[in-house]
Amino acid sequence: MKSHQKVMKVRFFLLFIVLALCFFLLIGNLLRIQAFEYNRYRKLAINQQVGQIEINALRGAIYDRNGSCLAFSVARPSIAVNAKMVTNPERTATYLALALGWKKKDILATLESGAGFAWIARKIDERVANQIERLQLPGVYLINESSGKRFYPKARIACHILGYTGVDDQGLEGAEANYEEILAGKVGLMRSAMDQRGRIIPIGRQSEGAALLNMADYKEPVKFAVKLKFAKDPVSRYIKEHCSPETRQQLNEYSGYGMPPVELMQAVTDDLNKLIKGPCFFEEKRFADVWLSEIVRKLVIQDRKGEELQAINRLLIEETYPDEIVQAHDLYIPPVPGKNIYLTIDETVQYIVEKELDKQVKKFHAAGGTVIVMDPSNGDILALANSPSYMPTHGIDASRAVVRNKAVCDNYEPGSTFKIILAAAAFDCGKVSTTDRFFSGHSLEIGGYSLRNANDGLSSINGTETVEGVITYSFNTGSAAIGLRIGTPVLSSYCESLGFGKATGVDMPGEAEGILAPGKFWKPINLATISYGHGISVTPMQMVQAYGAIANEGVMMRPRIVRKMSDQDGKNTNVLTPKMSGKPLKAKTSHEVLKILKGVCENGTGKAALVKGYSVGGKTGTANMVVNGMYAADKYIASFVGVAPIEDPRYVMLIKVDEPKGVIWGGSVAAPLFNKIGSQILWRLGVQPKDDGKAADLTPPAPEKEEKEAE
Amino acid sequence: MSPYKRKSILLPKSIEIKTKREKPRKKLFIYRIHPVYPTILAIAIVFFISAYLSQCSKLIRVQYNTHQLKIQKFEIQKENRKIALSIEKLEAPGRIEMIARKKLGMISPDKRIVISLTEPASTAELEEADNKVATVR
Repeated sequence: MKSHQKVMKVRFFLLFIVLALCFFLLIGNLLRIQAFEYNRYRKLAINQQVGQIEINALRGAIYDRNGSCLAFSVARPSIAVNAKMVTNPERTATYLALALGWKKKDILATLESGAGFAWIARKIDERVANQIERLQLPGVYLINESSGKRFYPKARIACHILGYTGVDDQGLEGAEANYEEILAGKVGLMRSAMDQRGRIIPIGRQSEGAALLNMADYKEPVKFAVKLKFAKDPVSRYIKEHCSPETRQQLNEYSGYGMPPVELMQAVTDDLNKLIKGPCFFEEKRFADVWLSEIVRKLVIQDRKGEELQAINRLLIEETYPDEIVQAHDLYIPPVPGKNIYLTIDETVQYIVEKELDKQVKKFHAAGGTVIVMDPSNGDILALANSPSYMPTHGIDASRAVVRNKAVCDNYEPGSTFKIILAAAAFDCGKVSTTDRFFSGHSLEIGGYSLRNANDGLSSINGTETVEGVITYSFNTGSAAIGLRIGTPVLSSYCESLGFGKATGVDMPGEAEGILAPGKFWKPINLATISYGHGISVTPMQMVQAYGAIANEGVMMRPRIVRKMSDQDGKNTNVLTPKMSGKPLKAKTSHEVLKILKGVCENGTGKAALVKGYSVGGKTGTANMVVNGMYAADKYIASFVGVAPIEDPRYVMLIKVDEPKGVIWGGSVAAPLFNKIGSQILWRLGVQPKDDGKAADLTPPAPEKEEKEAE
Repeated sequence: MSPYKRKSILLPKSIEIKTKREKPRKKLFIYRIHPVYPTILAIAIVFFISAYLSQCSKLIRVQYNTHQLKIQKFEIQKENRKIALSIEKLEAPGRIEMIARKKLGMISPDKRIVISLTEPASTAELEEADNKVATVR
């Protein structure tokens, strides 16, 4: 019995020893993993778990002057695939092709590529996305892209002003391109622990100082210390220069072999943290040899502050020393949504203009047309239409000829509409008075060339006309005579001061400057032809700006299409001030010329432009088109530039119809359009009709026959 | 009387009775700890550890909930934007004109008459006018 008890005691003791050994082994292993090899396992975990996402900002919206939305972004889901997780590529491709309505082989190629991440379809319809999600196909994921898909709820309205965006929501034309930086906002970045499917594990909130370095963040302290010591690259040189003198001394004392002293690494860490807390130290030259990722390049040009700036500096250090420094696993730079912009466009006026222009172009079987409506007092473009137009949603697929904004990009010879500029220059320079008379016979010989009036049946009976008569009846010979009177230096100087030969500065991309030769190269024949609008190329926008000066007491305002911007929540509104381009004319000159414009509509070639109940004025123009440097005999541009109302101009309107067939004259093709548009928009703008004590009949022009039949 | 010094009082010196003595117990100089105290200490340690772990899990749960709420907020904002977009599409001038013409049978206005209204005369002016009329009569 006693020996049995003894044996039991020994066994229990041995068992106890074994268990204790196991226990201590476990504790020891735990200590090894958690304490001695903590850094190694931490780095492994970070490598495996930490993912980085670029967060696109929601693009700003575009509104008209009254707050009606013209362009808007809505988040749309995209389909992505992890080809490594796809178990049955054939079956997956079949289902996806059916849901998306695409060819199976295109999708199959992506699924068989073996890529860890690839897009299948970007920003698709919600219903299609829900169908695909319900299929629960392995390896196929739905991702909600923060930047959203661009929509244009008013269809074609203002397509040439708005432009359009690409698949990645970048502006490609129009205001979308011109205001890209403002609309796009600032991209953000998130680095956090993620699960296998890329979903964020929100256990690491951005703690203060998450971007700062600590002693555990050095993968290769020896390599890093050596790089800093010898400072051969510009970034290391910069860092070393900004280290404290004690740190520099320690670096110099370090031999470069073996583990650097802890004090040295601590000092370097402290100095680097000071650098991280300071301003952004990115410079193109300094980082010329460093491969920076696209997201970091986008972030360094943003104006960030505080912890966001610290995160950016930390990213710069990480990308400069990718082998030496561990990536911070908890960074968050929030995206800044784009701002909304408010155009000067009035949606209803724009709609009226586009509708009437399309009808007129169709009626005369023209190749196209342009209408610009501008408020001369501040340069606000109330409407800008080109025909043909396109759907901005499919802007990428539209032809370049249709997408081109002819109102600012195309030059043309203005023809007789330029005679008003001549009249303004003649009166303003003081060399011509309203009573002076000028030869206006059928033809005029200058420098061996014979200039004739247009073959429209009008010619001066008396042989001479006042300036008003010359303009009203559009005599080319009379205009040439006026030009010869005032001379090349005066006319060329007024052409330049009225904005010809240079861009107006309107905030639309691709603006042309027109063609105006310097005055010193003008011969007498050039002076004569330019006087009636030939031998000079202008853009429609330049003509509208110049007429705007005439309508605005000689003050020329710069045309603009954006009047204000604000944050997406409506705060921080920034109202843009209208800019003055110059004061090329005196107020008296402007009044005299406006009288002439009125006379053209009441007595001359612009009668078709008269708007019932209002006093309007304008000038017609008909010019041969220039094709490949030569005048095309059978192609014309019919134009009209008008002002309404004459007493207190509220808008200037330019109408240009390209290659009308059959009838080619500006007075017959373009002037009636001024009437049709003017009668509607004057009403819309709330302009009071003439008050002559009687009831005014503002009956608009009778609708066309086709419209009547449709009704 | 100490058990170690057992002297024979009754018997003579020559006769000593040898008895088995128990080895004297050495008094160990230790305090006797009441078993309640370690128990309380263990319970306290377990309590604090549990409290700490509970706080950690609460924090993680709150962060998950916050994340879920952020996702919900994003979804609601997305829905709101979709509705705003639908409203803008419904208000498109082209669509309104088409409905006005085709469904409601409306046409463009064919007549617009504007009548200029003069300001009403004041009482004094009316009286003066009446007096003038009376004088003329």
